[in-house]
Amino acid sequence: MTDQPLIRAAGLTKRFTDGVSVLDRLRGREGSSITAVDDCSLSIERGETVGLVGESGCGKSTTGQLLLGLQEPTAGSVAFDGQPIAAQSAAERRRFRQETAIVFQEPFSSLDPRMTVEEIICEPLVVNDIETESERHSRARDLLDRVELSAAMATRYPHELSGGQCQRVAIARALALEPSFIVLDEPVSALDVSVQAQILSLLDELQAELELTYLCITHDLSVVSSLCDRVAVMYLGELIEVGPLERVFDAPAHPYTSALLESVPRARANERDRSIDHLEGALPSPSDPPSGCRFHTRCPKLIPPADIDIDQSTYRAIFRLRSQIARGESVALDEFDCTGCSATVTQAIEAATEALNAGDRATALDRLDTTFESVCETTPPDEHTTPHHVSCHLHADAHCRDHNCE
Amino acid sequence: MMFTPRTRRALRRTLRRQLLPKLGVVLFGLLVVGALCAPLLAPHDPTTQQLDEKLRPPIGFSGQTEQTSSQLVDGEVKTVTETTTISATWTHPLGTDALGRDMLSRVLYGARTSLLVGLLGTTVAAIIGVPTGLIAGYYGGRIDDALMRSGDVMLAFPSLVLAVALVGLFGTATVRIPDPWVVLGITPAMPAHVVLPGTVVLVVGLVNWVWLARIARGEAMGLANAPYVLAARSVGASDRFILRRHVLPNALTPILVLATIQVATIILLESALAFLGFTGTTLSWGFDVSQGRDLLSTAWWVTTIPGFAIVFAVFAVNLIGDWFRDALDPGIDADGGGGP
Amino acid sequence: MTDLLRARDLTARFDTEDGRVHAVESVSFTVEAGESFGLVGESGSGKSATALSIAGLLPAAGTITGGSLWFRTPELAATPGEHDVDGEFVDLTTLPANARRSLRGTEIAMVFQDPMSSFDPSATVGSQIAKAVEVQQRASARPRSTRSKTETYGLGSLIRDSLLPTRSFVSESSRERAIELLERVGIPDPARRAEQHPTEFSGGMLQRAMIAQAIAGKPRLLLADEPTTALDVTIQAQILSLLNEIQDDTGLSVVLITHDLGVVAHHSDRVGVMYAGELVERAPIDRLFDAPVHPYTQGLLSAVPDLDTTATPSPSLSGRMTGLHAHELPEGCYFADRCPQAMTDCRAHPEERPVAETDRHSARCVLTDRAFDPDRALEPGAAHEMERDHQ
Repeated sequence: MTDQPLIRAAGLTKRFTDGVSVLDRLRGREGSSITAVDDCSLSIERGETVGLVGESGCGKSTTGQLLLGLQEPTAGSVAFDGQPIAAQSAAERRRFRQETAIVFQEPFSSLDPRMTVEEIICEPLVVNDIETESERHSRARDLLDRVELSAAMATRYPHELSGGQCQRVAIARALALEPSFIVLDEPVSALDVSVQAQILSLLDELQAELELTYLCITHDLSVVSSLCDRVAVMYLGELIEVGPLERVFDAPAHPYTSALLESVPRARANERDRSIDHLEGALPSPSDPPSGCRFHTRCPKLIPPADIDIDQSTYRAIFRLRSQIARGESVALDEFDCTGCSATVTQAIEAATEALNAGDRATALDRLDTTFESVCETTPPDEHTTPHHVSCHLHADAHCRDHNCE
Repeated sequence: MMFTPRTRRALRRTLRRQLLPKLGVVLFGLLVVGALCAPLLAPHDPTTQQLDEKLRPPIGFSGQTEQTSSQLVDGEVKTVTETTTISATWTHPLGTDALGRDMLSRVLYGARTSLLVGLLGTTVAAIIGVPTGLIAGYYGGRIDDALMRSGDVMLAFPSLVLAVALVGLFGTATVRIPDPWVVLGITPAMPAHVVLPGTVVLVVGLVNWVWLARIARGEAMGLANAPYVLAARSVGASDRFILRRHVLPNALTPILVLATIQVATIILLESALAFLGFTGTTLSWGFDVSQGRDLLSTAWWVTTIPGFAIVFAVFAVNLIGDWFRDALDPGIDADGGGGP
Repeated sequence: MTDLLRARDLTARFDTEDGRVHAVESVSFTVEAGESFGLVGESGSGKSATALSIAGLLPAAGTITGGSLWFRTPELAATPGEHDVDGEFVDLTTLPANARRSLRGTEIAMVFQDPMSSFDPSATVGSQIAKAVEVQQRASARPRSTRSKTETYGLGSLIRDSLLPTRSFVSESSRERAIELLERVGIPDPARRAEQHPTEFSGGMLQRAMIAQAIAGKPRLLLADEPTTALDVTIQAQILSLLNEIQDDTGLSVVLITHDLGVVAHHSDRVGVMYAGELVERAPIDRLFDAPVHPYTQGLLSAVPDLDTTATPSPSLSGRMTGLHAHELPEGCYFADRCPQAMTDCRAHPEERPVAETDRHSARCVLTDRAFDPDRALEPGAAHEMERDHQ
């Protein structure tokens, strides 16, 4: 075994084009495109479990499928055991397919309703023409046993099983070719909490027994906390923070990660007293992602320009007003409460109010932009490696020098 | 395996619960028995002409024939119309046509043609349409465009016009299948062959494949991204394997429902072609309807009885189709239903 | 505090092809004015059926077969009718269908899990909320009797509105109120948003709009059935805090139905835990999390992964819930065959009993008044002779 990571993705990008009609295609015209995954780099070591978290539509499932070669990346590469999967020969591809597997979220729809449990579990063997019929039969029994299902299940159809049982069958199918790497795409999200716990502990046991490597894709942070060694957080197709579980969960470096963690309601008696400082707004559309740092439209820690002195809540309020003006919505700028603001801020607001009252939105916006535009809006953040991988201007050297962060 | 146990259960449940599927099964059963056992059930050879028995009305009715002859009356040649009343006889329960052929026998033998063309025509349509649709839906993109647009072009023509044009192009070839009842000597007095209008079968299939292709495509599009298809792909299954093992079986139910209804459409189309004379056999309901066209005022049964047979067959097949649809519709399919 | 709703031995059944489903079995609880009552349970535990029974929205196959739902509505209680009245309370189960309907929206409102399917995709969000407002305004313009309320919008109005679109059902003031409501639930630029169709809204925005619609009639009880389950966690936090805010402002009572113990912990004052159609434990939030009595509650709590530790949650609940068909339900305690503390006593069906002295905490379990006795313990699964499949 080599000491390189089992999976290494570099600069992985996937763009989907949408709304192309026949005529457009004949004319060679392209429709609107959505960048589902944008320049993501991630390594997964042997035997570890990496959690890929993010909200729905952030591109995490696509990332999982790109890693398994189930979709072709628009750019970037995936290497399995040091070898790029795009350059695999047919035999190597076969080997790669046997080394990897995937488990999906929906327990029922991930099993073919017209096949019996045994047929489902043996399918990977049939596809790869491994073993004889009778060997497969006993193999199916072993696999059922492994996922703690009785042998009597073998002749059942998926609709005769409960959600948890279906998920166990899906796991058995994933194990059939004795893979080393399994992508778990929301493995327990559709299950009841007591069944979730059963499946999570089964996955844990299997990993220890079979030395498996997992990529666990989920929106549920508590699943990550119980299953994963490292966490990768995705926002609008970008990996914004990657690090060891304890570090990321105890001291999240990206404001999005901390907001995500804070948003999860805890099942505890004193939960009512905990006030959640929740994020504003919804996920922007991935077809038109925000400029600069993609999170800046919702970020509670926007970085004001260095030359103005302003507190965060006022700054965010001004940011909201600016985006409203930019969208052409009506705003009452003259009612803006600016007590305690510095002279620069007051001047800028007054000038903008004047322009706005004169009906000149462009000038008003321009005046506000020159004074208040944040580095988060203009420049995509670089990836910083302290304290761990994080893409946020708050961790840029320049910012840290001024604000002495750890 | 066509049906899973669950599907079979759903079919049985709908059959047990509802009246119309029961009726459909009975009517379709009658049709099939009539067609299969036509030589046994038919009282006469349907092709034998008995001119002295012509235009007998069905039981319970009386018919009239007008005979026109030229007679020399008072030194002048006059055209005399004699009206004779013909009474029904039990020898010809449904009467006879203008050439004295037994209508009941013709209806029974006509069922053979209709059913054969209906089933084989649908098979031809399915053989062309289902793989085309599945491939178009599964792969999408350019392949989809190419396959489905060519189908759309076919749909742009009215099906009857297209069928007539195609029959005209191919000519009317027929296949003569020896009738086992006759070969075994059980009913030696009957026609020795079942005449299958080969061109018509081919043409009705060619005209109707697009509908099956469309539904197959729709199903395949959904199934191409089903998690279990992705799972199969992730272990290295080829597209061929996936199409055969996952896409086809799971798309089959709606295809089957549509195909059943297609049988009825094709029976109608065959009758229309036969009516227009584009057929290889005279033992066809549509042909009989056209034969009686001129006799409507005097011998309505020559058109009405085969016409009724067509309605009967189409109704029976549609009832079966509705039964399948009701039982297999995923919305109604769910076991139990209701519940908290 | 005054009570708003008292459910007493509420029982509901569903008739299915495979027999009767005991969806709700003798459920009793009280919702006080202004409080948030959480109803938690796993899928199929009967929590949604309970909410639908309260709202009078059970599907055709379902019927309330027993018990009563006392709802405090002084005006209706003063109106003579066939319904049972107890002081200011009216038994909802005895109300005729039209009176039941007239309470919906104006006294009892409901918010569902899937906002997308709760809105008509072909009409603008604003117009749909305006309609709700209009119904409410017409209802309150007349004396609150069971008859006049139902006559506000009948077939005649529908035909008139479709033939004469200018004489719209919705008045200008209702439209303005709809925009106010959208603003109230935190939708930015409400005037523009009101003119948009549901498909132009994100899931979180649409859930806000549904809450706006629900509070349009100023109801006193809001039944929220998994209101945040379909939403992302950051949006869930927004919606929960919005619900909190509205409750503080209006004194609305909320019954929050969810499978997520965290959501309940965050939002509710008191909680009822449901299992197999029964309310197995009922307690104030701190008691439930700190001193759960029912072994099911204990198992459920230990199965929840804790975000703040990295331990794998213990799969202490093995097996699965019994089926709810009449023939599947065991004689004794429904939970006994999964219960790690099952005793011989559990062969008899337990009554709901208060825990120790507190009357606010009760459980349907023999452990309420005796301790677990290992000598009388049952082997797992020995409680009932039932076909057992390994989960």
